[in-house]
Amino acid sequence: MSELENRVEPANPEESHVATVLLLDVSASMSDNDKISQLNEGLRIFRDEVCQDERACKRVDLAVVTFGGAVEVIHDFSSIDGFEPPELSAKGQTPMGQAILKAIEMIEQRKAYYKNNAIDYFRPWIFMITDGEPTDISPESAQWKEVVKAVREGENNRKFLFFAIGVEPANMGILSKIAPEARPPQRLAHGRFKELFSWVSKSQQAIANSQLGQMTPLPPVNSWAEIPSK
Amino acid sequence: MPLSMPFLFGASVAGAGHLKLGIPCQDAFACESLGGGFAAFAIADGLGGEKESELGAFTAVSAAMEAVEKLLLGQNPAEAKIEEIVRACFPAARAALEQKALEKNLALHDLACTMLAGVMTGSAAAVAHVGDGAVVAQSDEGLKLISGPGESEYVNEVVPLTSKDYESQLRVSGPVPGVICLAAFTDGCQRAGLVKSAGKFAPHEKFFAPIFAWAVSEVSELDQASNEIKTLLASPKMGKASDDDKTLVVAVLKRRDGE
Repeated sequence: MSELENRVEPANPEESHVATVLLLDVSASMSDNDKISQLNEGLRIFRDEVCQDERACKRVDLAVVTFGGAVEVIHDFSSIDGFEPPELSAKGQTPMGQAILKAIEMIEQRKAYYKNNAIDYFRPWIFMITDGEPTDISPESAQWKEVVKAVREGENNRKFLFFAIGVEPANMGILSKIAPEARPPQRLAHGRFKELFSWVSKSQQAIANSQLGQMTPLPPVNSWAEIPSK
Repeated sequence: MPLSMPFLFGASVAGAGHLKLGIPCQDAFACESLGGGFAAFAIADGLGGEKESELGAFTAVSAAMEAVEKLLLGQNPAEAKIEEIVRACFPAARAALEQKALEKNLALHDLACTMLAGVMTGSAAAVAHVGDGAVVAQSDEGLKLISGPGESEYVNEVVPLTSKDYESQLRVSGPVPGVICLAAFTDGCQRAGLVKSAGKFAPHEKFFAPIFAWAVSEVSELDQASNEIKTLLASPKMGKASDDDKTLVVAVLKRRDGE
């Protein structure tokens, strides 16, 4: 150890954090074709892969919100190594509008927590996975406008990144009207839940491992996304 | 032979994260006592993910120092407007990046980097700054942050010198009087050297006080001092704070023995 190294004491504040909300459709139709089992397995893959990355494990804070009949915060924000993937079951209709607003509210509260505790953070993420369309809002309703505005203004004002993923038979047209214009929804290719969650974990690891002042490209989506035919 | 004031030294080291990925050090710096009572430094941090950012950092720093040297020629230290001189090296650095991009058939963003530059005379310092990194000084009034990282909500988002609106993000500080010693550093040293209090950055005393005390009272040979800084930056202690590239330049403007 050099003399100078012996004398200085680095500040070493808390690690930077990235807040991520998984917003998951668990409506009744998710019991078709084993989708809910694949979703459950995907959550385990996601947790295990992120936790294998030492830095990502310290930096990723995860919350899980489901919407099926009601909107439920299955897991409030914690470090990802504190997340025990639940066994989700499918039931009810699709209150997607309320769920989106809940996720956005949780993100803002988490950022306030970071600011109050002098914790640096990356731009938060919201991943929404759905096999349908919202049953609590429709394009004619006032709440529709509120939800679309919250998503699009939030993305445009750089408050978060919003990813919408549609699983067959999701209404991609409706999802396109809700998702940010710069990031249209992607359709999950048949049976590719594992690949999707592996992509989500790799994306989180990429961000968690990015340096201060460094934008990081995300991995390509072609392992799980359905490429539209011409 | 004792060192004459002002004197400067510094080092850059590749971060462990870069070494693991086989990426070269993307930081660059230059620092010089220019004669006539003036001194200057420029440090730059190439943005990771941009393919020639280490070339960008080197180009920006070289052009900035060249511009400062030209502007200081024949200037009287008592009359020189060092805050204007340090500001003026940024358009010069930017022009050099644009020229380099043309020469090498690159997009300008391939050379993206942040930059911090300082000009000193007597015990006054002026700093100009785009992006992250910071300058901390020991002054007659104590430890102070002369220029902090740019305002950004998110830690991984920064405005580089290659941005089309870099001028709106250019911060000029000073001239700050009564400076005894200062340290300029890239973001690889931020987590070690800065703390946040009420949402604002502040210098971490236990990091800078020993460095400044050593620089002011003990440094007698510049190469040796630079090596000491290099060893510090490459140490596990600093690596624990960040595995990014690290640059730290120290300038001593006056010594307590009255020199």
